[in-house]
Amino acid sequence: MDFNSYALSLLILVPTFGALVCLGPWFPKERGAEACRWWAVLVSALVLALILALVKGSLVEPNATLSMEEARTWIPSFGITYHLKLDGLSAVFVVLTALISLVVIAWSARPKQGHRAWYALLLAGEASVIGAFLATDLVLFYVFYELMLLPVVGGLALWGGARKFTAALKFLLYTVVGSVLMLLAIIYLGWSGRALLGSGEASFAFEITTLSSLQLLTAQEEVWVALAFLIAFAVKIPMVPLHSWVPDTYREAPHGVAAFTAALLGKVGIYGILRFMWPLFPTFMVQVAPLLAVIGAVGIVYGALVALAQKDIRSLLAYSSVSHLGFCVLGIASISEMAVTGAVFQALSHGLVTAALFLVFGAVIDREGVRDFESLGGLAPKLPWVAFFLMVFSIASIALPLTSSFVGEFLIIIGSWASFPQWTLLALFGVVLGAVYTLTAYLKIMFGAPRPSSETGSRGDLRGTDVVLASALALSIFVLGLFPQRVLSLIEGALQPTFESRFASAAHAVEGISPNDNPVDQAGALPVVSAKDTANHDHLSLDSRSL
Amino acid sequence: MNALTPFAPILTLSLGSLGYLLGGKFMERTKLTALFACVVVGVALYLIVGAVDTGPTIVHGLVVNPFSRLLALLACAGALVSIVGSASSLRGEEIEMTSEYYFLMLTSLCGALLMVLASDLLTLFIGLEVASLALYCLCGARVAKRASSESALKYFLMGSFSSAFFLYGIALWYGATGTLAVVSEPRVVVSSSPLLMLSFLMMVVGMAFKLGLAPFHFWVPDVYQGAPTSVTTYMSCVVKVAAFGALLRLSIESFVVPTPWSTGVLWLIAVLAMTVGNFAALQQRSVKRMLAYSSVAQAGYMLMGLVAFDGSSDAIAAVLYYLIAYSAMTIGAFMVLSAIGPDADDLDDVRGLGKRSPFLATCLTVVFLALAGLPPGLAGLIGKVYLFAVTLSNEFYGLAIIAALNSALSCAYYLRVPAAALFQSAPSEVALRLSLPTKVALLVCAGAVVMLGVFPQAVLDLATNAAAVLSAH
Repeated sequence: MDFNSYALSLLILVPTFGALVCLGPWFPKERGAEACRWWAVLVSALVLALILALVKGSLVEPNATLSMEEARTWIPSFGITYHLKLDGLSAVFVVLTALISLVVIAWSARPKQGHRAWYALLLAGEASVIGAFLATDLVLFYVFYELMLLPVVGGLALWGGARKFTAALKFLLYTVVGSVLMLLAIIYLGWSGRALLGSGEASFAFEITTLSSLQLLTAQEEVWVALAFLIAFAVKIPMVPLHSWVPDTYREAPHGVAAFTAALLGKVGIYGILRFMWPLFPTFMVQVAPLLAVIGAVGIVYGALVALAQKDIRSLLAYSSVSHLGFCVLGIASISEMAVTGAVFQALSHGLVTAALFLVFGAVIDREGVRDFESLGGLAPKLPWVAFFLMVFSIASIALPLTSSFVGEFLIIIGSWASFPQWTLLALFGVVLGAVYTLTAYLKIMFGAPRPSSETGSRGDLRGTDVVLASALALSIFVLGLFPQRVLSLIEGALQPTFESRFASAAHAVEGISPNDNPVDQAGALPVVSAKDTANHDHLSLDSRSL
Repeated sequence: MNALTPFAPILTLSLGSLGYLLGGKFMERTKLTALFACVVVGVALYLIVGAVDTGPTIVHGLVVNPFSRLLALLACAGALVSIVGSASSLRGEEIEMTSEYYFLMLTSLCGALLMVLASDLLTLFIGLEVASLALYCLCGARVAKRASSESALKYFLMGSFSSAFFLYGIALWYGATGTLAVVSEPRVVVSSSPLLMLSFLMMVVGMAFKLGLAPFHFWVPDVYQGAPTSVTTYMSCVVKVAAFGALLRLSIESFVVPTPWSTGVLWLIAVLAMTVGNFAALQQRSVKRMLAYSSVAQAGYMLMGLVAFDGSSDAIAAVLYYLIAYSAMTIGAFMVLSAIGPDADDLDDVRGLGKRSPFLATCLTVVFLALAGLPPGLAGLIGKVYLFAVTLSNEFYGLAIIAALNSALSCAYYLRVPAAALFQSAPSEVALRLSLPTKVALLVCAGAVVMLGVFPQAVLDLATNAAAVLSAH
């Protein structure tokens, strides 16, 4: 019964327990709100402390690899396991989740009614997102993946704006259709394993290492199954043609929920591609890479252009999110180790920046009671702290050097240049556009001509805890920007095995592909697979099946 | 004495129901009426758990094996929970003659057990009739309400019609094989003669009526809505369990399905049921009608397992697991409605339930999420995963995709109910008071829905064990 064998479960159980306690009769209406908040802060701080304690060792020691696992049987007759794993890849995302949850929970602005439900939903959301980042069994992952909807839908429906039900329905339909297809694909995969595992005790397998060690699918099957995964993750991230739930959700959700959603939910999509799709469908990922690069680059520019045209702060943030996440997609598409590491780093950084922007802009919206640029202006003298933090986070958003976004976008651009120069060029154009809309918005709101504001909101400038929290976010953005090396090597350490075992083996066999199709990375990191090789590959897998 | 053991639970139930006829007047209007019913069903449950397998030799037209025992257990447990849960809502439903009410309910349960345990077709038919006749009367138990009487009449007409189909199927079966045993010696294959094919069709149609599978579902919404909610609660579980048990055994033990022909028939019914049920449910504002149509769709999902049956026990185990999970969900769903009030039906009646009774709203949310196949109601999710898995693994890709899209679609109407309960304001803020038995029964249902998903292995083992009996043939 040592601590380590339960540590990963505790990361999920502690916030779950915290959420259940919030719902109890201990925190009555009116009087209990502050107590409930402090309880939730305590719980989420505990989670953050726990994950930092687990990660600390590998951050301090150079070249230490992080790998913790916890495996239990869950439903042996389907081979479904309760399997959690913490490695460099999941660790950065879990730390991000714990930090953002703490900030959102501790942030002083919250809906006027229903404090119990508010903190319970946020803690439950934290638990499910952490669960999704830790699970390596596909079915377990799916359960957490669905549970993540809870805070968004609940938050929208309970405290959303005027069009909250439309927004909630749109969000639900998009994500559920995506995830049901993924569930079918998961079952199909698990069942395919049966032919190889034999019809013994566990005739199905859903654990990712087991699955990826078997060659389960023929090339054609792989395309369909992988496509189902890709659609589900593309909706979550969101990738460009499937992003239309984003503006509605971000416009209608309360600040905290919008920050939580924007900062964390999409990251599960990115994580899902790296954790599950890469090891399972390496051939497909190589084939689809050019398409993903186009989607990523187009997403960057499209998001930025639409953001330029927005008059509503929330919509601007939504489209700027779409634009910045396009970088992650581009980075993943290039399959060079540098760019993918950059993509993970960018995801981390985007989580911090975007949550901060949603919360601080939230303070502006609360105070002024309006949120379109036309009716805002000249707020800097009235709200010095808000002006200061918005400057900091806007700078971080447009990826100026010294900030974490710079590191992420720089790595992505350098890394993907070799594979997709034309799309990288387009992405660079997007960076310029990003600076334009972010700074214009900032200048208009803070230094534009003062508008007669209605001042319906009672809150003024940021105060007390909020300043501390915003500073913490700003500090982590700059620390990551100045000293990214440890975190980068942590991520690299986790990604390397996949690169070596999967893509490199594909690259080994044939050293080139028709150059107009898929240019080769000079460093040799880009895996390339020719049609002939794919055919061989299938042949082999069929052979092993018949054995 | 040994020869009597398979009969013991059925005898208990019939003696108990006779007890109501003889002594009912003495306990009328007291809590004893409900308590006595609980005791009787409890004893029957105990006897079923302890019943010894009869093995291949068939005693007096009954057979006890893991399969029939599991279904009998499920029917009794479902009846017990729904009796406990609705005991205190009878007064609100203006059901005055409580001893007659329980007499009918025990009789109907007795019939259901007979159906499940029967080893020859006549016994099965008698069980079917006993169960149905009592239920027709129960549907009309709320004498003062017209819809209740209407539903009783409708159910009676449709039910007799379907019984005739079933009986004709039995006659044809006898003509073709010369025996009334469920398992004929030597075995016959359904597609071997036109007589058998016709007989199979007749029996499937008869059972599809009882199960409310499309296109034989027209009675379902009216009956589910018109009947007192406490009766609907009972009916939605026990009838499904008994009829599904009969359908599974007939198709596999008597007709030696699968043949391409019979699979085609079942495939068509399953697809129709899930699609028609879902699309009709989408348009309902009445929660009871919505649940009725959704039960059509859910029966379609379960039939998927029979379509995918390939001789191994997996497919049947999937149906059984889902049947168990579904029983908990549907009892829970209807019981929440009956706890809100005797006339709670429209979506407006559910609005703002979160404020009126947080406990009830939580149960409602768990149960409806489970019906939609979403966590934390994990039983629904695991059940669907299992059903999809067997369907895919026997290469019915089209069916699996249709079912998956249907189950995504079903979220749209299932989620409306918890959304209304939690997120909309109540027309009246009066807090709801629940009686202790109702609370306990609701807790059992919601708990079962969650726990069947978190620790499913024991139940899966039970289901696999039971399914092995059928696939052994």
